[in-house]
Amino acid sequence: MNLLLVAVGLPLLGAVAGAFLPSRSAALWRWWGVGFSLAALVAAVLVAVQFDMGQGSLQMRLSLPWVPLFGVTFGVGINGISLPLLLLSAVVFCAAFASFGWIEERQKEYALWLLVMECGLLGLFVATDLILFFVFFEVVLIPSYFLVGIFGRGNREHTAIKFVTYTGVASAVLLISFVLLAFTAARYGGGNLTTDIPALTQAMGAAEARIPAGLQTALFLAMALAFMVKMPIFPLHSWAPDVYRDAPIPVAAVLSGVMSKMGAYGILRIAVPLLPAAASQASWLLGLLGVISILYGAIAALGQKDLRLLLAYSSMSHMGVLLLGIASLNTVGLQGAVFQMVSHGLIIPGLFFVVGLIGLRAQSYDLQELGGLWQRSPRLMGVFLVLGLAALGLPLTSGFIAEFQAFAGAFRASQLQVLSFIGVLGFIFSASYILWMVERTAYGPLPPRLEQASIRDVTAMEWVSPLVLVLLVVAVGVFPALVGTPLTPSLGELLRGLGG
Amino acid sequence: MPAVYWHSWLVVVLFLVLGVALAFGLLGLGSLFRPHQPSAAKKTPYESGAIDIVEAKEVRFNVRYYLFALMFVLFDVETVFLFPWAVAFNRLHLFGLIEAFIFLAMLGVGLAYAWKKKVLRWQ
Amino acid sequence: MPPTLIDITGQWQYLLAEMVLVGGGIVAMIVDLLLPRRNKSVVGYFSLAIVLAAITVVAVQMGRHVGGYLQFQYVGATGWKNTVVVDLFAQLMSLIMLVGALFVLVMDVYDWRGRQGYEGESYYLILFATTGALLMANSADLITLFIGMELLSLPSYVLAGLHRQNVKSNEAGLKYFLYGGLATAAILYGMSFLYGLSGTTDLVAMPSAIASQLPNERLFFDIAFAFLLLGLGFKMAVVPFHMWAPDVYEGAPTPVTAYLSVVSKVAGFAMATRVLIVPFLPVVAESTTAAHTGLPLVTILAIVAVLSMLGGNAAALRQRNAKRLFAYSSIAQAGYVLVGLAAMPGQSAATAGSMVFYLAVYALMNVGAFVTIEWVTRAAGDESLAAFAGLGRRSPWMAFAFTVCLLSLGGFPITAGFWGKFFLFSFAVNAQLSWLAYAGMVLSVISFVYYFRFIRQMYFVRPATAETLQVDAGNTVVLALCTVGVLFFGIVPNVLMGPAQAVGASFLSMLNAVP
Repeated sequence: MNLLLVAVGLPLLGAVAGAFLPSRSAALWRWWGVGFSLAALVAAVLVAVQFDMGQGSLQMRLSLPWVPLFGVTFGVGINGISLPLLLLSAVVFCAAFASFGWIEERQKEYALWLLVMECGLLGLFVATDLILFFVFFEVVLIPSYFLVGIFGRGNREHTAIKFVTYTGVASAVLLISFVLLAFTAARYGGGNLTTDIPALTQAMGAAEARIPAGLQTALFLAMALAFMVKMPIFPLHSWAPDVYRDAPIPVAAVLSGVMSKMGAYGILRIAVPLLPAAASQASWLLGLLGVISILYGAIAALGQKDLRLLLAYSSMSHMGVLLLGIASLNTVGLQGAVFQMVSHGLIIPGLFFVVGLIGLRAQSYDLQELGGLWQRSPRLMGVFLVLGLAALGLPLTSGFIAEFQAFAGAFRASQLQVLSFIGVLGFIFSASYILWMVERTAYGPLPPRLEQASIRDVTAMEWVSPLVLVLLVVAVGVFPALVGTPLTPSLGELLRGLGG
Repeated sequence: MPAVYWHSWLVVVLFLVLGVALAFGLLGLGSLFRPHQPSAAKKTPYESGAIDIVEAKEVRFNVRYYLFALMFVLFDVETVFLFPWAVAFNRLHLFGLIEAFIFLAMLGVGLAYAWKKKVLRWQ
Repeated sequence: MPPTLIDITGQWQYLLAEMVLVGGGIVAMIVDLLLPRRNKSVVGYFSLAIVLAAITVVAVQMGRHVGGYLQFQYVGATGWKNTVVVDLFAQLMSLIMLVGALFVLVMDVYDWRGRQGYEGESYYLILFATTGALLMANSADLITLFIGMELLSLPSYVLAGLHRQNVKSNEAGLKYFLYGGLATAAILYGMSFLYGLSGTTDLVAMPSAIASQLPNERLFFDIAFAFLLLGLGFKMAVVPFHMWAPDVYEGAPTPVTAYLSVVSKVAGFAMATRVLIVPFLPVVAESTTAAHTGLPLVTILAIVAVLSMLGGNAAALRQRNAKRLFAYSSIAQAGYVLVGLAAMPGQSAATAGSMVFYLAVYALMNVGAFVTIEWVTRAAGDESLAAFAGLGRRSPWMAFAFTVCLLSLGGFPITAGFWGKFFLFSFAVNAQLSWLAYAGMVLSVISFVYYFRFIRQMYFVRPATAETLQVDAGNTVVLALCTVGVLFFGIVPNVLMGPAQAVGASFLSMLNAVP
């Protein structure tokens, strides 16, 4: 039995088996979710243990014919880029299940949908076939609809359907682009129709010179833009603030932490390797959009009063750094991009958990109604501070390596030098909004409204999710090799394909 | 398209023109010669010599007339198809005989349906 | 030796399924006349058995690889004339329509419970209409095709108006009849052009006859195409020929609506494949040469497809009545299949496989949806979307099944609807119609909004009553089969796509057959 399939299958097993259980006890579903996501995490760790760090190509390959007519395979495999993301997803989902307390009713549906979503995300990171990738891409969408629509707050139903249709359009463009790509490769390369990513990479490499450059660029842009919707990147971001504001906290953590990486992963793993010439042609555009996102996200975050909206825009700003790293198309920049995926994937869920706990105590996410919480809840505020500093890119946290490398890579790429100088300005803004955010919540006097309220510090169960994430943020910051070791050979392989 | 195709349409057009011309021409010709003396009695519809008791536009026919007419068509069509069969009977042999009886049986079912649904009863 | 008028000894088997249906229909009619009023459901069960028998016939014939032409010879004429063709396309289409009819009959038996009226008629009219539908898929001749179409249409008009006490049902019957009559006239007129141009009604002989006439008569091919598209557009209910569909779907009894949206539509597409594509393949082939002067037929089909997807989806957004919404939804679904139809000429016959796949899946998911609609709206006495409120709590499994069908209609992965769209649009990409594939896929996103409205009602809204919906065994089985089928073909599409793939080859053999 392929270990990857075990990791992907365990959450699905939990969801399907759980559907047949009666929905009586809330505690049962918490432990049901924690159990299955922990099991998936164990499987993912076993994958990491068995992973050959020196090898850059796909490992633990399994490829079965699925729809032979179109060369669609059921293919899974893992390399140094997807391994950190697989582990990241498994960890974030465990944390999400551990922080179950926000859900007050219909816990069964919540747990099962979240498990389905985990299956989709884990599957996405190990899929080695375009169509299988797309299937997982879409599988994530349906649980999101239910999780936001049933368990969210505010105008949740509208937010949920907006999310589904907005990203649905992106998926539609993505699917047809995949198909067009496969047909193009077969037509110009003369080989069989296939959607298997490694085989397709080879076929595209062989046929590249014969495919019209315009078609390549159009395909690359179509895919890249579709992926950017999920990240989200300016100007395709307008679903994100709504969703991050209205989704229940654990779901917002998962969506911002892991689901947003689907897009970045797609660009890095599919769009760039399959269309390298077009990628270097259009890299200035990626860089431009990345820098706009950095600045736009950071400036917009400065203007927010709702903590969750602030996180939403800050997340967008960090995604801009990621895209800038990818756009550099060199070792340093791409390393920075992958580090940023992991780093942001750990920091932003942590921040959402903390913000959720603040909201639970203060009954408000409005910065103007908060303050002085350090007096009442020092442990929570301590975590908040560390995560905030990590988001700023403080050395010894993962954020530092990630952002430093992404920018360093961009500086080296000749077409991005000016852009990255402008992008660095984003740091000023992000320093302002993060420090402002922490200052407004942790310090100053307690508002009179909260004076009387009995605000307690965090309980053990609330504490565990953000704490684990903080520890991982620091661990990656201190030992970057945790991510870097498996990554280097795979990035080398990717760059060889780019001709660099 | 061969010219023959258009020629056959020409016949249609010719018929159309002649038909219209004939109708209007004859009526117009008649109006030249006939006397013109309108009276109220002349304007009433002709109903086999009987004096009409209601306005013609208010007359309603019982829906059963239509059902009876449909039943008539049933037997009419039957005859239309049976006639050529009878003429060609010698060439059609047993196969034709069976075919014809299947046809009759199907019409019979239709008749039975109408009968059962009381179409044949005047109420 | 005297010339035989007709000699079909040994060819009976090609019409066996139709004969079973017609014979069964006549027996059902007689039985219905003899039965007292309260036992009419016996006719329903008998009709179910008849359809099952017909399914068995087709399945066994497929298993034995029966295939060929039913031919005859005029007195004194040389050469044979094809009337009926049994190929894989016909057999698969027949199976889809028969299974659809079977499911509709199960719904119908329940629908008549507690109602007075023409119960027996509704059962055997479905049998007769299905016979016509089968003939439409089987025919190799314009005349046979036309008779099949009329045999489907006439009972359908009656079925739509069968609830005589209901004004809307009356309206549906009359409207369907008037529009249908117009469509029939248009099709017949278009066929007359085809006959005039080729000198034959035999579809097998037609392409070569047409190819020889083509250079001089391009204008008349365009006229024929226009009329056929108009008439068939009505039958398939595609924009801009769709106006009848919403009123008829809303007014007709729900099982009949299901029948119209599944069996009639599939039959319409089978017929469109036979007369809108096969005779025009040489015409389209000529269009690719530099000298062509006529209409771009493929582009016209593509535009109609886009209009259907756009119009159907956009109009469905505004609907509050579930049945009316599904009328527009099935207009949009027809648009997706039209994408396959538009891809056919450029892509040869292989695309037919993807159409067969989609129509099979469409039959499953749409019947599943209509079973749910029937139960929910009847229990609530309300056909608006609000009738579905809280179904997720009242009847979780039913809500789950409906959700699966809706997601499949929307084209989400791990349901069969996803693969259906994938195959159709992939063939469009391969036929150099990438813009159409992009347009279709993006337009299908609009449908998420209204399909998710049902899901929202079922899971987000609290139910008005807490009582669970009691569903009878037959409908439970139908709903379960549809749901399992949609999921099964969604996970292993090749089980269905494998056989459907071979349709292309069998279709080509019809084009190349020498009579």
